[in-house]
Amino acid sequence: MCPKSKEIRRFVILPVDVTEDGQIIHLDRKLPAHLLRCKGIMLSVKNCIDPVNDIPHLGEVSVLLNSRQLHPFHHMAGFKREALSKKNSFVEINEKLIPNFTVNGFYRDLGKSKDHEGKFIPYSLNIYLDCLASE
Amino acid sequence: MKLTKYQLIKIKVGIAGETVKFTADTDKMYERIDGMFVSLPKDDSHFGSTLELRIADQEILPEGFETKLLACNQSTSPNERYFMFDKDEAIEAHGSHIEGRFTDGGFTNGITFPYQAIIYLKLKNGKPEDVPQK
Repeated sequence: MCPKSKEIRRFVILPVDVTEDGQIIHLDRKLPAHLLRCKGIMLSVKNCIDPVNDIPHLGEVSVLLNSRQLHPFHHMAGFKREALSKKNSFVEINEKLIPNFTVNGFYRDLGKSKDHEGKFIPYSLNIYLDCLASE
Repeated sequence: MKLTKYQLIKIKVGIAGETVKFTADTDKMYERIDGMFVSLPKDDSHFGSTLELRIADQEILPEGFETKLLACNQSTSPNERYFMFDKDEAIEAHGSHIEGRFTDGGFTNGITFPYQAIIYLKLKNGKPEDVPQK
């Protein structure tokens, strides 16, 4: 039998749907009370925006934890033409979470998601929080 | 003593954007699941594809979790492709029931349907400390 673990992994996904050029989307979500710690954050663009080129500066992401008490993450979100990377990994955060507090922040599109005629291409991005939770 | 087993779960995806529910059981001869890996016939099929997974009534991956975070390209050696669970994160095997839902991302450029999505589970016996963790 495996020993019972007191802490278990839980992923939280904050989906962002960008429909307009330069759109700013605010993040405001109450996290489940059993989450203890945020170990890391990862950004992932879901759809294929450009079949030829990478877009390193697609948008800007800012994430605040514990109802704006902590601001551990401010990063550029990029699109990678290759669907898969050699190895995926989360950016380390390792901050304690206060029960029933919120995760806040914003996503700001930088207007780089365009087709060859300059028309904006809508896209979706996921912000993943890799968390530890009590069982 | 049997130490390691790589168990496959095969999922047939018929059309673009299809959601396929599946169930399976882990091999009873192994104590825990140390890692997993998702393989699709073409890397581009990972665009927008998601996998929701519960093992032994425990949420492992929430709805909307992208499969590309559970996969690597071919330049990664097979042994390093696995998404490993933490050492202290015991996910019990021993015939645990698996329930999942795979959703194709709808990317059709150069993709042939139907195709088979494969989930690999790395099952282990012995103490987690004995296993080198990636």
